[in-house]
This record gives sequence, C-alpha cells and structure tokens, in this order.
Amino acid sequence: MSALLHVEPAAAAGDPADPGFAISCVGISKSFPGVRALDDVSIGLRPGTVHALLGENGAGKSTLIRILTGAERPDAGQVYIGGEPLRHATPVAARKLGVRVLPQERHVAADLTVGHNVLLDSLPRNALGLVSSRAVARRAQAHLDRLGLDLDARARAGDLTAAQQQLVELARTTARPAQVIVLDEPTASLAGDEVEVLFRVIRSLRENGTTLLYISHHLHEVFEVADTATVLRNGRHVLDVPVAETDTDGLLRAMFDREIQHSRLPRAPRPATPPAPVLEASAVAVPGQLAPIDVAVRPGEVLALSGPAGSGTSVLAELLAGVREPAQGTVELAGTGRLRSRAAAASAGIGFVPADRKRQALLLERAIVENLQLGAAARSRLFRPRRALRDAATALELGRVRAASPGSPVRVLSGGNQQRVVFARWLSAGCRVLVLDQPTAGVDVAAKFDIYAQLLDLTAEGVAVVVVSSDYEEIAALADRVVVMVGGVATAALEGDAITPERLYELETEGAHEVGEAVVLDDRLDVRTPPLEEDR
Amino acid sequence: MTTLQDPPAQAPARSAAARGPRLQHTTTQALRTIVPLLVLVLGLAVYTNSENAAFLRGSNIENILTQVAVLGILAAGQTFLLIGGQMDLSVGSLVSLVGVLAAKQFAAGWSTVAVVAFGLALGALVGLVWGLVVAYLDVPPFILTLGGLSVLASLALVFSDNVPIRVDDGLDSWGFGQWFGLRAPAVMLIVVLVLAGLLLHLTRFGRTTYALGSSQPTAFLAGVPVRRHIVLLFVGNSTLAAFGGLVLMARLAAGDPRAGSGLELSVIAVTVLGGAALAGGRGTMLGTAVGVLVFGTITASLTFLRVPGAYQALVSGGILIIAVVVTAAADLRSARAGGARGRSALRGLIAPLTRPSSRGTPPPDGA
Repeated sequence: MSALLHVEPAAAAGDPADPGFAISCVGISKSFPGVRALDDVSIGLRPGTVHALLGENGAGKSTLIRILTGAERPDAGQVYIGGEPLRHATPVAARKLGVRVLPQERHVAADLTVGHNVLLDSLPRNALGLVSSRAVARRAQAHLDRLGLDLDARARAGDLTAAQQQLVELARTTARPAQVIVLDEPTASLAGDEVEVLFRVIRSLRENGTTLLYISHHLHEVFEVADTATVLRNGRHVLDVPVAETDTDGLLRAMFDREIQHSRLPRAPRPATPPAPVLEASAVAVPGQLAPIDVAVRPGEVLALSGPAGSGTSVLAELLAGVREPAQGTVELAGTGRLRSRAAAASAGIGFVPADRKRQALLLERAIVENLQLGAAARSRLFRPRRALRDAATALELGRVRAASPGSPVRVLSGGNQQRVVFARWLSAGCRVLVLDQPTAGVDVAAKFDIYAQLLDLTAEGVAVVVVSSDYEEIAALADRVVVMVGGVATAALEGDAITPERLYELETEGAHEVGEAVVLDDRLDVRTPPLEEDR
Repeated sequence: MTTLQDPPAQAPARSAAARGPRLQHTTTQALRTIVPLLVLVLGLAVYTNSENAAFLRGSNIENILTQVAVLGILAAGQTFLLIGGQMDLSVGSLVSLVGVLAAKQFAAGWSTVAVVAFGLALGALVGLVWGLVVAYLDVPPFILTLGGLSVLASLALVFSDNVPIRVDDGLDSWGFGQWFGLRAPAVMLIVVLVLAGLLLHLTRFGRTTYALGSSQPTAFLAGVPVRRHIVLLFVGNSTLAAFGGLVLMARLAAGDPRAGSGLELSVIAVTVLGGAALAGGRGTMLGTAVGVLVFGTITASLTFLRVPGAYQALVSGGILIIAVVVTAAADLRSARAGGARGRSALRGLIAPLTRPSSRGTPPPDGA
C-alpha cells in the first residue's frame, strides 16, 4: 500500500473533543469472538458535510456505525458527539445528542398510515393528550411535501413499494431536527428518480448544517453527494480523503488490498468438456424479485451468484434448492425431474445452507447430534442414542468440526464450527448439489479459508456447489463461474481467472447504473415477499 | 429419557468430550424439572400418609393411577403437540363426544370392535381436520381448536339430548377389568406412556417433532416434510384422545356429554408442569408422566386430608402455579448464567444424578 494513501488516523481526526466536529471517535477497537472488527479507528466529521464511509463487506463499516450511534460499546476508544463524550453508550443517549440513523433494513409498521410512520416517535398530541389522526396527517404531509416526496400521509404504509417505504423511513429520520444523520446503504432499494430525491434531501440537510455519514457500495454516488470519504479495510482505517482529490481507482485501491492476493484458490483441474448439468433452472422468475433467468449447475464446479442483498441472488438460490417454487419456469434435477417440495429436493440430494444460520439452519438449543441427524440426513426410522452419537462423531470429523462432544448444545460452538455442523449434516446426507447463501457470514477469517477448502474438496468429489455471496474476495477465491446480479436481473457472467474482486465490483456498479431504473421498476409489482416461515 | 449414554468411548482424543457432561444437556434440563416434582409428590404422599395411613397402601396408589388414566392418556398426545410447537384445546370435548357416540352405538347393538373402531376413526378424522387446517392454512392451532372445543362439546350435547347415555355391557373390561393384577385403566395409562415415550425419544418421528418445535424454518430447510408432520401430530393426538374417551366411557359405564369438559386445561397444565414448553421444542414423556402423578397425588391427598371440596381446586391450582413459577425461575436463572451456572438451588438435588461437568465458563454467544 502506498504511503500516500495511508493517513495517520490521529492526524485525520485532529483533536477529537474539538467542538468543531459534529461527531468523532478516537481509537475505537472492537472484537467479536474470533474476529477483530475494528482496530484503532479514529474519524471526525465537520458540521454541514457529507462524509462517505467505504469498505467492502466485513471491513467494519456496520460495527463502526453501531458504535457511533450507541448501539454497540467499543472495547476501547471514545465517541464524541458535538464535543461531548458519549458516556453511556446507548441508542437513546446518542439520540438525545442528536444522532439519528436511517437503517439498512426497512422498519415500517405496515398497518399504520404513512403519517403515523413518519411521526412514529413524536406523535403530536392535543390538550387531552390524545393523538389526532388528522393532525398527524397534516403535519406528516407538510414534512413530506417539504422533502419533495410524492407520498400521501393517509395511505397505508404496507401498500407502498419497497422504495416508497424506504422514503417513508427517510422522512421519519428527518422528522425531527438532528445534528448527525447516518444513512446506511440508503439507495439499496431505490430507483433512479428516487435516488435523485434522496440526494436532494441530503443536499438540503447539509445546507441546514446537518452532518451526514453516508454508507454505500456505489462509488458513483459517493462522487455525487459526498464531500469527504473514509475507507476501512479489515477493521483498519486506511484512507481519509476529500472526494474532490481522488477518483474511483484511488478508492478501489484502498478498499481492496492488492498485496494480499486472495485470488483463486488451488483446485483439481476441471475437465476440458464440461459435464452435463446436474441441476437446471429454465426461465425461472419471481415477480418483483427475479427476472426470468436460465442457470445450469454442473457437477464438480463452484457456481457463484454475486450481488448485494435484494439483488435476487438469494431468491435464485432458494429456487435452485426447492425452498420455494418459481412463479414461472422450472427447476430440474438430473435423474429426478422437477423439484416438487423442499423435502423432496433434500432427499434427492440438494443440500441448502441458509444465510440466517441461527434461526434457519440450526436448532440452537438442541444437541449437536440432533442438529446433524435432521431431515434428509436422518436415515433410520429409529433413533438409537448410542449409535446416533457414534455416527455424529464420524460426521463431525467429516465436517471437520473441532472440539465438541455430540451431546452438547450446538449453541456453545463458534460461528465457524456451527457452520461446519450444517455442512456435516449435508455431507452425511450425501448430497449431489450444495446451495449456500452467504456461507461465511459471521465467520472469522481463518475459518473462512477452511470452509473454502472444504467446499473445493467437495467439488473434487463431483458435488456441484452454488454459493450466494456479496463478498467479492470470497467469490474470487472460490468460483469457477459467477453470475453477477443487480435488482433481480443477471447483468454479467465471468469465468475462471477473469473473476477478480475489482472486476466484480465494477460489474455490479455498472449494472446498477445501466439496469437500475428498468429493474427496480419491476420491484413495484409485488414487494411483499412472504417470509420464509410462511413459505413452507 | 433422551440419550443417557456417554459420548462414544472411541471418540478420538477429545479431551473436552472426556470432561464433558455425561448427560445431554436437554436431559439435564428435563431432570431439573422432574426431580423437584418427584420430591413434591413424595413429600405430599408421606405427609398425607402420616395423617391417614391408608394413603400409601397399594390399593390407593392403584386407585390414583386409575383416576388419572384418562388425563394421562390425553397428556401423552398433548406432549407431542406441545413439543412440536402446536396445541389442541379440543381434546376434552372430543372425549365427551366419543363417549356419547360410542354409548349410542352400543345401545344400537354394535359390536365392541365396531364401536372402538368407530370411536378411534372419529378421533382420527377430527385430528385430520385440525392438522390440515393448521398445516396448510397457517391458522394458529390455539384459535382453531378453541373453536373446536365449543363445536365438539355442543355436538356431544346434541347427540345425547343433554343427558348421559347408559352403557349396560360394553367395554366393561376396559373400565373395571383386572389386567396383570392391576386395574385396566392404570395398565392402559402405563402402556400408553411407555409407548409414547419410545416413539418420542427413540424414533426419527420423535426427534423430528423436537426439531419442528425448536425451529420450523430449520426443519423445513433440512428437508423435513413439515406439513405432513404437523398433520400426523394432530391425527395421533386426537386418536389418542378418542381412546381416552372410550376408556372414560367404560369407567363411567355411560356416555356423559360433560365427562370431558375442562379436561383440556388439566391436560395442558400437567404437560407444561412436566417440562413441555408452550413455545415448542422442549418436554419429555417422563416429565409428563410425573406431571400426571403430581396432579393425581394432590387430588387424592386433598380428599384424604378432608379438605372441603370448595378449597380443593384452590389448593391444587395453587400448587400448580407455584411449581410452574419455581421451575420457570430456575430456568431463567440458569439461562441468564449462560446455561451452565445458576442451578445452585436445585444443584444439591440433581448433582448426584447428573454429575454436571465443571464447565465454568459460560458459552460464547456466537459471533
């Protein structure tokens, strides 16, 4: 890394208690079990500026935001808001000091009106202490008009599109005066003209002296609205720069450390002529989430689906695993035919590792042995405890789970070992296809590479592996082929050595630019996806 | 009840396993509920016996078992439902309805075999309806079976014209027979509980039930046919309840349209008392059996101690509340302490049984 790009954090932040900073932090460090999320990070934001926080997934952006807004306590270091140290780091304390957050996930009360949602935490009350819906509607409408949002305060929030709900949240965040507003990937579900509305709101807030911390994956947005930018990499603060003094390349260089080449991992040579696909999706589509797409998965390869949350990658993975049925098109497993149900798909040899490990992949309170011998992996109708424990021990070795007796609850294991238990379940079920959604989320770096090696070993045995990931380095390390998706549309595909983190990043950004509008329009058809629990 | 075995001896070089808990933690957890209940039962029995020496006589113990036979048979089915994250409030009414209809068929001259088959089929049909509606329409079982409670209770009154129907000689041996030197209902209770325990703890069906109640999305994604399993749980439970209805009819020698009213609440009470969680994923058949025993002992003690009838429900309800609160508090404390500590109050009781490991450190709460 060139010395020019490396800024002394302390120098960048200046005197942290300097009242000239609207919000600042000094020497923040934070560790989670097995992961050092932040290492001595210091930043300072001047009032009336827009500051971009950049870094790839897992760089520590979310943790830093959570610490700045009081949602998480740092192991070391101090947060200052308007020169005041944030002593009792709680969200309430931070809010009192004027810090507000537009969260990444939408939190809209679907059955309330837009007006009630906008004024949720500051409902106007009359002399009797009662809330008048008319007053709420009037006030909320005035605020929405001021922001230039084309929304009716009397509409039911649940009837809005995802993008409109995001704007409702923006309105809520700005309903009361704030010193600092944190926008966590605000454009993730917005279309082109709505992004323009957002930028207009951001600029007018800045003119009124509000400080904005803007987190985004899209560099072109940074150049459009931000004044300064901070780049985090692996929990360390690597760059602080006025946006006018840098360019896309400069930021990319800082975000991805070229010196540590996490390029493709070694693997068994792939056959010259690709074998016949084991799993094929033909013209599958889900209204509002996935435009029609063909995907073929071949034995012995790793196919990656690259894209941010909401890009359709997870939906496609669920279709491939028979978790849900496509509205159009078919998914066929070689030798079995159409997938009829998740249970049928599982017993036909399609393993699925969901992103939400704790709620969807494991029975946290139950013993490891029960987590292993579950569903398609439970071979015998009888459960013979002694034999079950013996089989479990074998499965644990197969799955390379370290240091645990099969009788203890799966909850006590680390994230990496929990994930290996899920793998071990599918290995002992003898699967032909393994579909994984964000397989290394919440897993520390060393365990990540173990998992990659394990997946590549599987391909050597002829298993087809499908990985959904938003981690470009992960995809570059693992994938034989990759499909890049944006807003429910496959925009590009790469193969072999052409797969690099930078290329994936570029493709996704370009894709968002090109397809953005057309694609997200599709999103308006139906934004209310049934949650998985209801999707049995 | 759950795997009591040590980890396999040949587990290679696992020092952690060697020092690990000898019992599965779920078993330890269950014992934490069961042991205090057993102490309660014994204490109450010994005290009552000191007041009235007839209490611990064999014939009275047999009597207690006969009294709680129907309750226990229903509780066995409800245990499966609760562990699977479901619930059925209509079982009491189903007991009444099956009793009434069976009595009518006997009066109409049906053979015993035909009546029993009819009763069980009726139960299975009711369970099939509940199961299909819950599994495929996602209706909360609480509301659905609450409606079912009223509907079935009313049907029992309609079919009996509001009066009990006498049964002269049908299923006499079920009500009054002596099997293996014990009264028939007591034998049935024991057999049902043992078979249900084997099904719950030693088959894939049972383990799947736990998985379903622990995390339905996990079970679904792992390839469990979730809907089919829910239907089977309801069918099994209602069939068992219909069996209970036949036993009660036999004992009363009548089809009483109110015989089972209120029974569903006692069934859920003893099941929860025995350690089954209303939220699913927890419970054991041994726990349920002990819960039934607690209920039977309390009821019998109050009679032996000549507690006036009006106070009996007060005392038995109070004991239930205290027992549930005490276990919940112990659970909460151990959960706060990370599951490994905080059982000091009960530790003395359980320690010799479980030989808990010296896990000093609470488990990390994951990433």
